[in-house]
Amino acid sequence: MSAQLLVEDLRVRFHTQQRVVEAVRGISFTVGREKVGIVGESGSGKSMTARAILRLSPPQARVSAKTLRFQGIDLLASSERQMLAVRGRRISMIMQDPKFALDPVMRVGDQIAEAIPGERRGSRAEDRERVLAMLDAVQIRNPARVFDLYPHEVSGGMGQRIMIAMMLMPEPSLLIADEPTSALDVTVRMRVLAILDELAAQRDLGLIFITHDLNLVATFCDRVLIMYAGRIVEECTARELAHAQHPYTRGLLASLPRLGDTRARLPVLRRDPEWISA
Amino acid sequence: MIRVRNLRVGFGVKGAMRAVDNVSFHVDEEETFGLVGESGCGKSTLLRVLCGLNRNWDGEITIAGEVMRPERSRAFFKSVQMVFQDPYGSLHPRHSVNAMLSEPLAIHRMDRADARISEMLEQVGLGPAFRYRYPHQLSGGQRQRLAIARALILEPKVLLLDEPTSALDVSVQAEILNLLKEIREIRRLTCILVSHDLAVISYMCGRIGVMNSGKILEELSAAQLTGSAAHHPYTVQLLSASRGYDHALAKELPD
Repeated sequence: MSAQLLVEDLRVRFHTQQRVVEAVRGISFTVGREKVGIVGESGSGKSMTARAILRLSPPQARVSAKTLRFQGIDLLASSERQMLAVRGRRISMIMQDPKFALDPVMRVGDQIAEAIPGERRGSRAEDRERVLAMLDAVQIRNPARVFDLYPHEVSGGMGQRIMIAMMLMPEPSLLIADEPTSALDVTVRMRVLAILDELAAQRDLGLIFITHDLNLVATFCDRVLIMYAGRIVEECTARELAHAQHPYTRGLLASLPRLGDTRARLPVLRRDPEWISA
Repeated sequence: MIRVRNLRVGFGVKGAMRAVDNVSFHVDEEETFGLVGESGCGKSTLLRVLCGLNRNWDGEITIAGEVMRPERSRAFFKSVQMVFQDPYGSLHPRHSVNAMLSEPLAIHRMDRADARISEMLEQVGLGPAFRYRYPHQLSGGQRQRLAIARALILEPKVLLLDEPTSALDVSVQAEILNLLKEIREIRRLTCILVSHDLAVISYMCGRIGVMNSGKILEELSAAQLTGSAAHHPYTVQLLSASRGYDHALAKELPD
């Protein structure tokens, strides 16, 4: 499988007056046309990694890497103008909460139409047709009705489908989803994931799936990267996650209560300072 | 200890929106009863009614042998306390740990305030160093420990827990669940735990009520829930969804 995205020794640092905070400490990975999960607890640097790929890091952040290449484009060396051809068009990002990511005062359909790249736009009617087709692709039952709704009028699950529709409009080849289903109920989450799964397969997309939910990556992704304190401490195929080797991964898995758990106490994760350096 | 019969709560014009619809259950002394369900099923509303935050309900509630009216006495608030979901939102940002723990003691005119605060901090694993800190100086897990300390400092008999770990990382969740297990044993607490996480609920509770759109659909023991004794299709659906992603299964779920 040829990799679309090559990341080698990526670092994201924040310089404050007193010290340097390293959010991402030299990580390397590749993403082909597959579903790659990045798991970790809050503050492990998973979102910072996603932002660095899109060059959307906060202005104070210093991003460096030996290689940060997407389909032959050097993302770090690209100008802001060149990035416009990548960001949104070839790599797009699904955010956690559609309530905040969608424009509250714009009709859903118009927002999705806005995501059609300029050179592919047609007449108003043509664009509308394409949006309706896309809403249908994310399995919204009545696209014509949803087209005219405002974001506050749709449920969380519907909002997330709308966001997926919007992100797919420019026909990207890599999709970054940052906790796309954390705000959703379990059953709604399953439906949204199934849609994402099918579309990724049909359109031959690469997917970077960022989450803190170990159960979910193990069952949804092909490959998993486990992040701790800005480093990738372990990489494995998703189905093998239960047999992970690294003490951090093992500790996380053990601390999770399971259905039918009979342990009197849950083992608490003991953090080894060596995990950061080793 | 707690007995609820035909509880109804409505919101909107004439209670048109039934948030809790004819719910009945009971919780024995020193038992932990679990309520599981998805957002909007009425589980938090139910807890808010029990602890007196919502006065607009009808039905019958008895706590510790006493029939509840919408207005509660001061003694009631001392014996029933609640821990909320979001430790970032439930603590006053400009009150120190000491102030937050002193206030309930002063309201209920309890003695030995100083000693009680240090004992309480010790018990929830925070230690004396935290006493004069502010919430922004605490991590999420430490804040939730503080919220538990604040609820327990009045020595309540009943502790209501509304999604106490859903805002926390899994490793921190384990710490808080262990703490709750330990404390409820030492203090012989009667608890109601509300959560959307079936694994957490079945780990912590003896009996579990499954809620959907304001009703308790079925009541099961933890063993029945995790075995295959769940009957209601909604419970079965929740159970399979909580086992992780399964494409074939996801296609069968209703929209």
